[in-house]
Amino acid sequence: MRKLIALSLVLALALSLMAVSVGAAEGEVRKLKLASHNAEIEGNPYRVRYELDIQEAAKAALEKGFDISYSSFVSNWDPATETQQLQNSINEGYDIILVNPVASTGLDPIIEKAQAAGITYINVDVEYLSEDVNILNICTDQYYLGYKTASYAGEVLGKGAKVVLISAIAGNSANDFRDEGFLKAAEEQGLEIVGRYNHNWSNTESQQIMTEIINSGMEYDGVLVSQCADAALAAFDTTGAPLPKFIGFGDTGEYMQRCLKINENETVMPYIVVSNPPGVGGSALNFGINQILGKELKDDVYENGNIKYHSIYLPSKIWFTDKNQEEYRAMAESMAPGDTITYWLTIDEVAEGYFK
Amino acid sequence: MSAAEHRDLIPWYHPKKLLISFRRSPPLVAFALSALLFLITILINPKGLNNRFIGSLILLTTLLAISSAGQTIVLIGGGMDFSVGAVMSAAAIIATYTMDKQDSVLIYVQVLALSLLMGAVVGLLNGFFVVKIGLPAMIVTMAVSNIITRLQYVFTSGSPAGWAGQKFVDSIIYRFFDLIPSIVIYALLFVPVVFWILNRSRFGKQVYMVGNNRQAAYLTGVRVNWVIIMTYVISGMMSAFAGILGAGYKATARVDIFGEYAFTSLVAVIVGGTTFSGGVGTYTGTIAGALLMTVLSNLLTTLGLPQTMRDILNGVIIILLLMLYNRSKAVRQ
Repeated sequence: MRKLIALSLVLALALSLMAVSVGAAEGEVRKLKLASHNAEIEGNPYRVRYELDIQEAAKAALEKGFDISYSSFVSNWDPATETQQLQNSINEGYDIILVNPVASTGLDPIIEKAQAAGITYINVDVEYLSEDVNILNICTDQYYLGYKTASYAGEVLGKGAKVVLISAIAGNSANDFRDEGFLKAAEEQGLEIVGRYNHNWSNTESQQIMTEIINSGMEYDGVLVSQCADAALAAFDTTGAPLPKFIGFGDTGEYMQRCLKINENETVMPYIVVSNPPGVGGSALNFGINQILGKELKDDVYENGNIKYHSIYLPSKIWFTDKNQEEYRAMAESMAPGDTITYWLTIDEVAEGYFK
Repeated sequence: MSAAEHRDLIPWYHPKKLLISFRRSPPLVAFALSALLFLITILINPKGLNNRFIGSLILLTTLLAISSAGQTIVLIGGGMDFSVGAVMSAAAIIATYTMDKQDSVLIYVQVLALSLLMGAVVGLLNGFFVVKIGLPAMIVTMAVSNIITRLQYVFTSGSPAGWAGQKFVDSIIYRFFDLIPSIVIYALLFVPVVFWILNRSRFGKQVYMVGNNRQAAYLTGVRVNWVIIMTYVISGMMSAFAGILGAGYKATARVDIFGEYAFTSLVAVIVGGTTFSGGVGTYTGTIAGALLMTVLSNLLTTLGLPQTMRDILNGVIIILLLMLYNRSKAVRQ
C-alpha cells in the first residue's frame, strides 16, 4: 500500500512537473531575427509601405509568442550589393530572410547557402524564377490585376472601344503578368489597344507619357495603366484635355481621391481601383513563421500559382469601381496621397489557408 | 561695298561657313534641331498640331529649363550638381505639406522661405565638401543627394502628406488664351535673374573665370573657393524653386518624385552647349537644350515605338548631339 501511495505521489509529481514545463513552453517568447532585403525603398511608396507592413506583422507576431527583431537592407537595384548584403545576413545568423529581389534570377548560390545554414528564406513580391532551388515565392496575383481592370474597361466601354496601355517596366515579372492579364481581357472584351507605353513605375514619367499621348491627338476611349494612375490622371488636369471614358487601375490615396472628386455627384469618368497590397511582405513573414512552427504546406497551394517555381499567388482582396465607391470613400479620404491600400494575412489566416 | 563683298557677309551664301557658325553656337543648333524634330512630329501626326501640344511643350520646357538653371551655373564654374532632383523633391514635399490644399500669401512665403533655406543649406554642404575636402563634385553631390532623399523618407515615413493649394496649382497650369501655361509668369521673373547673374554680375564673370582656369582666376584675385561654394548654394536655391513649381504641376509630392531631374537637367545643360570642363556655356543654351529634350520625348511618343526602342533611340540621339558640337576644350591649366 505504501508503495502504491509512493508511486502515485511520484506519478502526480511527475505529471505536475510536466504540466508546469508545458505551460512554460506555451508562455515562452521565442526570439527571431528577421532580415528584409529590398531592391529599393525611397522613392517607391509601394516598397515603403511594404517594409512598414513587415514591421507591423513582426510586432503582431508577439501575440503568438514570437519576439521578432527586424533589420532592413536596401541594394538600390545593384545585384552585387544585394548578394553581399545577403551573405552578411547569413553570416550574422538571421532566422528568416525575406527578399524582394533586384532580378528574377541570379541568387541560386546564395539561396543554397542560406538554406544550408538553416535559414527560412522566402522570396517576396517579384517572383524568383529558378527551378534549381527550392524556395517559396509569395507574390500578389498580378495577372488578376490586369485582367480585372481590362474586364471592367470592356464592360464600361463596350466592344470595339480603343484603349491605350501604359505598362510599368518591360521585363519585370510582375509587370509582364499584369500585361498578360490586360491583353487577355482586352481580347475577350473586344478592346482595341491603339498604343502601348511604359511609365517605369515613375509618377513623373507616367504624367509625361500621358501628356504626350494627349498631345499626339491619338484617338482613344480609355486608359489602361499599370498603377501610377494618379499621375496619368494629373496629365488631364495640366493639359486641360477631356477626361477619358475609363481609367484604371490605381491604388493610391491620390488616385482614389481624384476619382472620387471627379465622380462626386454623377459618374463622369468610370474607373477601377484594384489593390496590389504592399502587405504581401507581412503575409510572407507569416508564411515563414508557420514554416518555423514545423507546419507543412497544403498539397494544392500552387494551384493558382506556379508549381514550377513554388510560387503562391495571393489574390487581391480589395477592389472597387465608380459603382460602389461610397463603400470605400472613408478609407480613401483618410489616406495620404502616396499611401496605397494595404493589408497582410495574419499567422492564423496563413495557417488556415495554406498550411495543413 | 561690292556685291561679292556683300554676299560674303551673308552666311546663306556659304554653306560651309554656316555649318561652322552652327557648330560654334550650340544653342542655335539645339533650337534648329528642336524646330526640325517639331516639324517631323507634326508631319508624322498632323493631329498633334494643337493648342494642347504647344501649351504642354511650353510648360514642360519651362519646368526643365528652370530646373536646369542651377546646374548651368555649377557646370560653367567647373563643377557638377547631382543633387538637383533630390532638392527639387524635398522642396515639393515642403510645399505640399505646408500648403495642404490652402492658399494664402503667408503660406506661400513660408513655403518659399523654408524651401530656399533648405536648398541653400544643401548647396552649402555640396560646396563645402567639394572645396574644403577636395572630393570630386560628382561623388559629393550624389552622396548628398542620397542623404537628402533618405531624410525625405525619414521625415515623412515614406509617404508625404498634403496637396498643393488649388490657386497655386492654377498659377502653374492655367492656360492663357487656351495656349500659354501660366508657369511662364514665373519664368519671366526667373530667367532674367539667371541672365543677370551669368552675364551682368561680377559674380557671373568670376564663375566663367573659375570654370576656365582656376589658377589664373586665383592669380587675378578671385576668391575661387567662395565662388565655387556660391555656385552650389545658388544651384540649391534654384532647384528648390523649381521643386516648388513642380509641386504645383503635380499637385502632390512623393519621396524622390523629381529624382530623374538630376540626370535630365544635366543632359539639357550639356545639349545646350555648356561643357563638362567648365568656363563655357549660356543659359540660352540650356533653355534650347530643355526644349530639344521635350520635343524629342514627344516625337518618340508620337512614333509609337516600343519602350525599349524609345529608350535606345533617346540614348543614341543624345550621344549624337553631344558628339556633334560638345567636345571638351583643350586643358589650359
